[in-house]
Order: sequence, then C-alpha cells, then structure tokens
Amino acid sequence: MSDNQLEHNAVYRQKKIVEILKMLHEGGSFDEAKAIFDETFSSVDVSEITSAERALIATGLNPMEIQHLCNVHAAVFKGKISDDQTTDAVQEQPGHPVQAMKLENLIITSLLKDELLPCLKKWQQSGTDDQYLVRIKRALKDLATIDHHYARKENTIFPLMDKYGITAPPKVMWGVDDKIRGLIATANKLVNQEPLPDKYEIEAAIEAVNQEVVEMIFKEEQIMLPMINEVFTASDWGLIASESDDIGYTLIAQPLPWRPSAAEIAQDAAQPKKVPAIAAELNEAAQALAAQEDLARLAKKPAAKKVASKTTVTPETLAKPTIDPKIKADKIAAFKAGLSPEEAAAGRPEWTKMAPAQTPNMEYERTKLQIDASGLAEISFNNGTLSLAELTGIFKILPLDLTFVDANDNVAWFSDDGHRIFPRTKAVVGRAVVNCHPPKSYDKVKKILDDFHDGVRDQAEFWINFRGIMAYIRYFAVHDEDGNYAGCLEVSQDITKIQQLEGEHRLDSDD
Amino acid sequence: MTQKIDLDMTVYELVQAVPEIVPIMVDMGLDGVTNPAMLKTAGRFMTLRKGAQMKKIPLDKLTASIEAAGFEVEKHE
Repeated sequence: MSDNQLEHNAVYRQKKIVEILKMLHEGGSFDEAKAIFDETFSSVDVSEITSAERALIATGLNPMEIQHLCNVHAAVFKGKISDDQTTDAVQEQPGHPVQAMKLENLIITSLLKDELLPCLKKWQQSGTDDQYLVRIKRALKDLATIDHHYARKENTIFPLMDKYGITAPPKVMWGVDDKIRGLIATANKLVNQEPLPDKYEIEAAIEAVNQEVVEMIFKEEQIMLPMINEVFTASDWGLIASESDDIGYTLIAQPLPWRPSAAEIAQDAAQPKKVPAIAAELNEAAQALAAQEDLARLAKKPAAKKVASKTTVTPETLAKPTIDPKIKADKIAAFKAGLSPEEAAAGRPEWTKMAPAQTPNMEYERTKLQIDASGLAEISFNNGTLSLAELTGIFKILPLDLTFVDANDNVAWFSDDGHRIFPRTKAVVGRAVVNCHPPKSYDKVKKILDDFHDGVRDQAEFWINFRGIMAYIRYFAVHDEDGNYAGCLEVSQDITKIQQLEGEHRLDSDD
Repeated sequence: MTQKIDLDMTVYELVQAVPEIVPIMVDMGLDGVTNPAMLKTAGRFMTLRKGAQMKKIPLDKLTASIEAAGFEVEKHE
C-alpha cells in the first residue's frame, strides 16, 4: 500500500469512528452502531478513538456530554481496542475484572490527556474564556469518580493479595490512592472557589493530580497486575468479578457479567499456580506468622477453655481471648466501677451494657442450639427461639450494615442487604480487620480494638458525610455470656432520612 | 572494574547485586526500594526502565545519572 492509500485508509477509519460516535450521541440505535462498527473494523487503536473524540468535540459536541461519550465508547468498543499490554486472553474477555480495570484506566487517561490538560492550557492562554473553565470543572468532577475504581481495587483485590501474603504493596498503594483522592478534592475545590484563586495555583493542583493518577495507572498495570497474576486463580477473579458491580465503576458502563469457565477452574486445580519465588517466600513468611499466632493461642488455651462453656454455640474460632483473663477481669471491673449511675442513666441503653454474667440472673437461659420437631436446627436464646432461616432473613432485612470482627481482630462475618454504605466483600472474611482500612485510619482502628480488648471502652461512634448521605457508624465491644471479649460489631447506618423526620407519622395516620 | 547496571533487571535482584544503586533510585522517586517488604514483592516486578517510564524520566537522563555515580549501563542491542 502506498503512503497515500494508508493515509486515506486512516482518514476513512477516523471518519467511520466519528460517524458511529455521532450516531450514538444523537440517540441512534446501539445495535445498529455496533453492527456498523463490527463490519468496518476488526480492531481499533486507542489513539484512533481519542482522536475521533477530539474531532467530535471540535465539530461542536457539547463538552458536558463527555462522560456520556466515555460510557458509549466503553460499550461499543469493548474488547475491540488493541492494547499492546495484552497479557492473557482470558483477562481480555469482556467483563473480566482486569479488562474492566484497564478500560477504566484508558478512559481516565483520555479524560486527562484529551480533555482536562488541553482545556487547562487553552483556559490559561485565553485569559477570559470561561467555556474552558466550565470544561475543566466538568472533567474534574468526572475524575472524582475514580473513587469507584480505587474502592474496587481496595475492597476486592487487596484482601486477596493480603491472603497470599502480599501485604506491603496494598498498604502503600492504598495510602497513595487516598492521597490522590485528596488531590482531586483540592483541585475540585479550587476551581469552584469564589473568587477564583490564581490560575497558577489551579494549574499546579491539576498537574499534581495528573501526575499521580497517571503514575498510579502505571503501577496498577505494570507492577500490581503481573504480581497478582502469579498467585490469583480463576476462582479468585470470579470472586472479584461477583463483588465488583456493587461498588461501581469509573466512567464506564457496568461490564458484562463474567465468570470463570469450569475449564479454567479445573486448570487451576490440575496445575496449581507454579508457585513462583515470590509466593514461596511469602508463604513461608505467612506460615511463620501463623505458627506464631497459633503458639500464642495455644498458650492462652487453658484459660480460654475454662470460660468457653459447653452451652456456648459460638464456633471455636470465637472463643480465643488473647489477653490474660485475670488482667482483663480486673480492667473490666475497674471500668465498670468507673461508670457512675448518672452516666449509666444518661442514655446508655440497657442493651449496650456488658454481658449479664456479672449480674447473675437465675432466670437467664444460655443460648443453645436445639433441634425442632421436624429435625431442623434452631437457636434458642434467652428470650425465644429462631430458626436458621429466620435468623438469615432478619439479618438480611435489618436496616443496618453489620460487620463482626472476632476476638482475634479478623473479619468473621458481615450482613448484606444488597446495598451497604461501605462495600464489604467476601474476600475480607478471615482477614485482619486493620488491613481492611485505609492506612491513615490504621492507628485509630487499632486503638479502638485495643481498648475493647482491654475492656477500657465498650463503644465508639462516628458520623460522617459520605457521598451525599449522613452515615452513622458505631462500634461495640461484644462479650460472650461469661463476659469475655468475643469481638467487635460495626454498625453503619444511613441516617439521612432519620435526621429529616419531623412531626409524627402514627399507625393511625392517613397515608 | 566498573559495575554494570542492567536496566531490565528487577529492582529486587539489582539491589542485591549492587546495593549502592539505592540512593540513585531514591533520587528518581522510587522510594519503595528502601522498604524491604516492598522490595521483596513489588521490587520483583519493577525495573529501572519501568521506573523511568513511570516517573517520566528520559532514558538518557537516567543513564547519565547512573554513569555519573560511577557505574556502567548495560546496553542491550
């Protein structure tokens, strides 16, 4: 082909892409656009799409629609964009978490390189043209949704890395994610400030954002992915995929559902990951650590045994106090003594008080498992009996998000009504709770748990504005029926509506 | 004899072979290298070439600073 023909071809392709994008943009049929796309192209380069996008903007496309356009790109060109980083055919399947992550990174890169930075430059040169400032604001607002991208990584991928003993990189990376969130918030604040701060201040803020975001994309794709690919199995990716939709995506449509094929899972089983040097070494370290923990646990065992009464239903994992029961009893006693009757009366509800063991009640019936008439297990509490199905239903409907962290500070369980305020994923179950928080809150979480263990505090509460809702988050020390520390219950609640309640709505009110 | 630095060697191997390289990496902004837990994990996937790319440092500039520190850069032709 002559240069002329090549050029012609490139121009033709470009024209077709613009045509498709334009058609979609004007509300044309998605299927029709997809059909035109499929018959024209076998694959498209990222640069072709982004330059088509620029061409569209140049022809007068409303820049406010950029996000919509990004979503459309993602849907139509899904799986058709050639990427020189191609590693693994499976991971290029539509809907695979790696594919979704890379697609987001592509869009984020384009948002920075093709919209935010050019607009910033033109705005500075133009002097007074507010049109560019409007576009900068819009782009920064879109960029703030990178939170979904990071939250998915932090809540689905990090816990699994942790499970495989790769603990330092997620911690470091989470710290940088938080830094980036802060930089984006600062930039957003600056461009919306009245009066507008100095242009150079805005430029510096946006450039800092750009640099860190671009660097993070590099780290995710060039360091983190190769690293986790050495240890993650097809089932791991399946778990990640299944928990991703709830957390959400950044500037792309929700990907197609993806599940590992039976063959892929079987392959993992037949041919376990060729435990590479890294995993082998990490496993050793992890096992050494686990052995230490077991030793510590064994050392405490006799004491633990004594308190774990045979009527207790809790699995053994729950009854592992890690501090000397004597010291703890003393501390609890001191703590209780420190509680004046006034304080107790001042709104400490009955149910937050410690277990009834300290105030013996002859009538009290310990919780136990029993078999009902039809042979099904049910749990008999002091105040009644619940079947497992009822218990499951109650936890599902409870208008609170519960997370229980056991006496060893590992996440044991969380309730799931389908829309939690803070994402929790199955991958966190069994992991150390401190690794499920951003590094900046590590010390605070640790302190609360230590106080709970030591019995010097039995609750903590916070309320924060989170994505437009008021979240009320409480932590309670949970004790077993003998008063031993059993774990920490986190209770999160969206109280936006509750705060707005006024007047009365009684049972006998008209609806 | 001047020591040769391979831009495509993993940072993990490189630091073991040539510990004197650490300050140069820190100067580049690759400060993870000073954290042993990072070096053992992420360090096995990071190379000087990748680091330069990530930090947007031109390769000839990196080569110059390595040579200025008294090393030789391995050339893959």
